[in-house]
Amino acid sequence: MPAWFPIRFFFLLSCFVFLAGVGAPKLCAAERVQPVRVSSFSTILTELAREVGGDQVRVTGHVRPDTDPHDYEPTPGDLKVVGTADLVLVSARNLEGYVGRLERGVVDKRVLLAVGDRLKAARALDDPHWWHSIECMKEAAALVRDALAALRPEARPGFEQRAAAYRERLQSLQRWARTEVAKIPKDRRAFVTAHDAFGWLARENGLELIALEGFSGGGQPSSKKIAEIIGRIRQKKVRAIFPESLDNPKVLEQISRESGARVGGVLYADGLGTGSAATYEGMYRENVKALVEALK
Amino acid sequence: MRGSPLLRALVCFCLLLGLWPVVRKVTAQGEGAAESVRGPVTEPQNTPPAGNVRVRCRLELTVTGVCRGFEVLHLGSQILQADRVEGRLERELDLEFPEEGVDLVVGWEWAGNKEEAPGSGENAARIRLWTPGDRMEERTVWGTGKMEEVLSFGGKGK
Repeated sequence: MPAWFPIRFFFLLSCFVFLAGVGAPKLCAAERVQPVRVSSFSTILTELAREVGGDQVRVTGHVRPDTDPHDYEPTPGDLKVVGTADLVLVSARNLEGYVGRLERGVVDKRVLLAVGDRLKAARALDDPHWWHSIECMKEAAALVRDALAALRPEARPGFEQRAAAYRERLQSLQRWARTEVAKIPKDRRAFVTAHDAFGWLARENGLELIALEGFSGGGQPSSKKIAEIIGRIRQKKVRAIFPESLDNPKVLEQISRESGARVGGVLYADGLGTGSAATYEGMYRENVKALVEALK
Repeated sequence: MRGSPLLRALVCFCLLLGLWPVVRKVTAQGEGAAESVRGPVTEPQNTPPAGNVRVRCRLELTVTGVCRGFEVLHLGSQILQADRVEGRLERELDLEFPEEGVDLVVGWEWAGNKEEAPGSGENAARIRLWTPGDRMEERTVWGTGKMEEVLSFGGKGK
């Protein structure tokens, strides 16, 4: 064996080890499924996509918690992200006035999922705040699951498993809410809110909603409307009126003074909040707890 | 108009004096109308509304198996509890019963040796409530394991 042989052998061996080390991650990355890029224009759908998609999705939530989706306008940066997304989620049902611009921003119109418009359960009411219906949320979870599975068929079992687990949690939340609302006597279940955003929550839990304004809110109700609401509060013996996290509570405080109904806890109408209302279940629980506490 | 200024002033004063009862009546009517627009001052409804009297209702539970830890909650308070129910249980309950009806939260757990309904694999519990006016309403719940259901009784249109 020539004297130089061990040196040459070890040199070649080192090269092999080095190349194997450099090349291995690239090979693994090629084998791994690329996460689905999701752009969401609703805090609720951002959570839903993360819950159902798990580590198989990369979700960009364009609308931040405690932001009014009625007033939100997408930025050029948002539209850039939308242009590269595999799936774009919007609440729909005329909640976002910019859907047309999003449609022009996406390469393929099929990637835009107008969730609210696709929900069969949401046809019963005009209220676009469909996420306050747990039945609608279950259906929305199934829609997102199917959309993700169509984009990544190889990851379908994971999507199905996570969607089923999320559905179980929603069912448990629904049972809890019904039991909580049962603590309110049935003749005291009317409540007043600033805008008409809780039609679904009222419908599914046997409550009666009196709203000061329409579906979008944000305006100033007329004195005639205020007088009408005060009349209804007295007639129905409404015990409490509820401010919303994103609204100015002054008008409600005035109505409270004139009608005798007290001001209840803050309700989350237009999406997720922060702290204990930072998740869907947390938000729903906070809303139900505020209602029960003030009405029982 | 002829006559001294003093006489004219006196005539005007007498005319105004004669009109005073009319002015007063009109003003009083206006205040009354404003009062009716404002409406009577109502008490904040933090006290239970009047008219919800407690009434005696009869509750009957019939189960197809053995259930344990049976309880009934009304407005968050336990109004009936039984450690074990087999066959039938009957109780008289005093309930606040508004004309909108009541929601009862009924919870229990099925024990072993269940008597399954044909083809269902589940046990059944039938709850009957004789509401005011001796009107009977019946609800049936099927299930296994631990259960909790909100059951509505009474109310308009039922």
